[in-house]
Amino acid sequence: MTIELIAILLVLCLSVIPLFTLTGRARYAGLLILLGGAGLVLAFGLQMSQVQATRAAYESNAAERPLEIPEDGFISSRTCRACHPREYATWHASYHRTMTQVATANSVLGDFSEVSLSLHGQDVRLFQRDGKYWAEIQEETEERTQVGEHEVVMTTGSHHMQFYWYSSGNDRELGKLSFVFLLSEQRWVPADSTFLRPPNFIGSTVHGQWNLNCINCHTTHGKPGIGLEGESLKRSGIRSIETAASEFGIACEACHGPAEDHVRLNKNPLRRYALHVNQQAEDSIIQPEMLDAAKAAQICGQCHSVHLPKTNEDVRRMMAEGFAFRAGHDLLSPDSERIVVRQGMEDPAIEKAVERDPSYFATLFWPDGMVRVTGREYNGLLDSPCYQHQDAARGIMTCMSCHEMHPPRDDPRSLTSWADDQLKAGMRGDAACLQCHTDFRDNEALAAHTHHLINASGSRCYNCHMPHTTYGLLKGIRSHTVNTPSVEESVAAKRPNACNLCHLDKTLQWTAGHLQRWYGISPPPLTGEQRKIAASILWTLKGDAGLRALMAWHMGWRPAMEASRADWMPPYLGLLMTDPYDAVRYIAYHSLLKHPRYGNFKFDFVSTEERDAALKRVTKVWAASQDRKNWATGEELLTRDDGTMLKNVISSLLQQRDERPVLLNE
Amino acid sequence: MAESPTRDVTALPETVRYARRHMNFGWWSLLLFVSLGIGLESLHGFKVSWYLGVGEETRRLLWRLAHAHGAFLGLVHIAFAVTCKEREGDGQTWRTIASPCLIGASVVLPGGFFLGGVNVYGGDPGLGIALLPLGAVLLFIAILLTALGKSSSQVSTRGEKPRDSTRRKRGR
Repeated sequence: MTIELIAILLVLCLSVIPLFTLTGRARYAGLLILLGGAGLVLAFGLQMSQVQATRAAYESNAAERPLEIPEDGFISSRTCRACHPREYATWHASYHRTMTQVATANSVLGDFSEVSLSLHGQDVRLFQRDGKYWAEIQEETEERTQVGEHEVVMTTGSHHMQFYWYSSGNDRELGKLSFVFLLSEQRWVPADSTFLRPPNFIGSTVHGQWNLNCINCHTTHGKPGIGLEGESLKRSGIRSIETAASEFGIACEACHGPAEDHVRLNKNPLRRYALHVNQQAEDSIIQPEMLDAAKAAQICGQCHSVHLPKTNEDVRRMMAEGFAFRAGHDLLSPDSERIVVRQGMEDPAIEKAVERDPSYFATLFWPDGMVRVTGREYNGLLDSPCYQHQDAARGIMTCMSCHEMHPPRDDPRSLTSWADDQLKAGMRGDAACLQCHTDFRDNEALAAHTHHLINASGSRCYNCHMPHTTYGLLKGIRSHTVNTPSVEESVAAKRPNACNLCHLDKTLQWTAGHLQRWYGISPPPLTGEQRKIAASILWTLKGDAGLRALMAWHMGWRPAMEASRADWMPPYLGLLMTDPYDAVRYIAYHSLLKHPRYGNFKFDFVSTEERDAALKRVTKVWAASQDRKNWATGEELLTRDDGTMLKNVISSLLQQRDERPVLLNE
Repeated sequence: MAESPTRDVTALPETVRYARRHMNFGWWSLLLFVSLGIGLESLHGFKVSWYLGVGEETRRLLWRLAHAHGAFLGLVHIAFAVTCKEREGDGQTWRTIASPCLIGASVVLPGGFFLGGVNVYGGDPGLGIALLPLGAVLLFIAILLTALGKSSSQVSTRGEKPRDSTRRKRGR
């Protein structure tokens, strides 16, 4: 900026020089031109040196981190850009691009200005030196405690939070920084606090997780290079971990396949213009929209699914060469290296996974097999009737029915707005479903179907058929399994149903009654509590941590707040802010901020000290409210007519809480 | 009623006619392409999406090239006019070919860039870009002939009497 200003001033100075020639002082003009020119050269040089410094930072730590080398037919987005500027620009604005980045001033979002942190007795100091990012980490060995300085070389994520990886000193192996920079709060928090994990759970600090796991989906054509079979290893001959990727981040060729042949063929302008003029489809590259629905969805499913390598041989090969799947391949083929895991499947790979971790399914699925963690949307699609019917004439739902990787020119939204979830324009509403369910384009038919007012949130297709029963990124996320709401799912699978996720003040009995009257769905047997107490309150007080997280999120979800008269919620959110799970406390706090009177409420969800005090503060504000007499009360909300709470019942329900450890593997 | 005086352009010396033609062409060309430049600046000013939008790099590049080539060639015409005047006495062959070539290039080059930017195919310009090779060849010929003509004129003015037919005509 400063250099730019200097350059502008110099140009302005040069522009007045002709005045000197008019006044007969031409010799000064020559001198000034000389000085001005020298200044401009200097400013340009300084600007270039800044660019060089950024580049140098990018390259200087290449010896200590995975490399970015386009190979095996991959040529990287830098080549695609020349011919596909619009596609490049839209991809560039996406969070797919920034999923993995080299740590530079352009990519690092965290605060590295001499920050001291401590976790489980381990001190970490974050700082910058010579334009690089460093972590001084207290490391305990068997003999003694020592402090090690590690250069932070890579980042993961840039949308909600950013993770950091430092060079471990062992070839290209990376270690994970135990703290994450949380963008919503602009602060460092323990990495484990950003996942739904039991209190005091200490995530694996083993080095090499990135090289072995993250690389496969967070880069394009990642090759862990671990093991003797690794081609990269063979080439180098000396390294034990020679990790490389064709491109960091999820780039063009992740979805379009390797593009080397496409580029070679299209260097011929006659071929290109023949395609342009004749409007022919290009067949030298995979175009997902030209594939059938199943294969198009599998391009997303290669990463957005629960999957396991099939055999030990596949594991070994992946450790060396990464995923063999390429866009256009059949992910579900018997020859595929991986199996997409679904409940009820019998496969040795699944048996082995369950043998290693008996809670394997619980960390990913609801008891009835519906996927419950984010990032696995392809599983949801596979289980959706809109996809399962496979009748092209009726229209088969696929990822691209609602999402798009490149918004069109006439999209009125900004790229930032689009990038949030990469939905097509208008797909936040009913338009997504009305593409096929044309009957409901008629408002009367829609109202007759939903039994809600046309403009009410209860008439929105998503809210009933894709409720927020998936968890991830510290929030509730829409399930990608399209299903019909039922009380049965809440009783048998212990999954909240769509009705009670909006009508937080209603009981399961109430929902069962409506579903029976409106749709003829037989009500399942309910317990006394389920008949009398609002389902959301039962899930809040008695549910496991996964349910509590979803309840905390829904108590800050605008449609639910409007449909349920939100004034009774703050004490329950206050209670959830004392939850043993960090993630639940974070979500509860952020929901509380959306309630009137709590917009400026301060709470540190990581701190162990202020939880009870926070509950008291929340209750105090609530109790002191003048208009309390107008608030919603009743037995189902566990409040008396005078607004006071039925503390004994609440305590009794809390004692019945499902305290089994919950770990959700998002 | 007195007859208004008319100027018979053909009566003017050939060098003057060429100079006048290119001087006129040059200034009008400058006016046109400076106007285009103002138009492009306005598109920036008003953030017009079909010019500045994501992925419109190709159109921006081509229209900038049209503006730059048009304005620059306008200046070349003025220089050509000055050259014609300066070399009043030399032969006319180079001029009679170079002049239409330069005018053709001045239409085809910026026009090709402009049309190429109207309908783009991603990173590829529209079909108007096909005019460019023609324009490039015309410009090359024009400059080559002018350079050769200039060289021969320099040689001739050192020792020989200039071979200018117009001057000879005037002498008669």
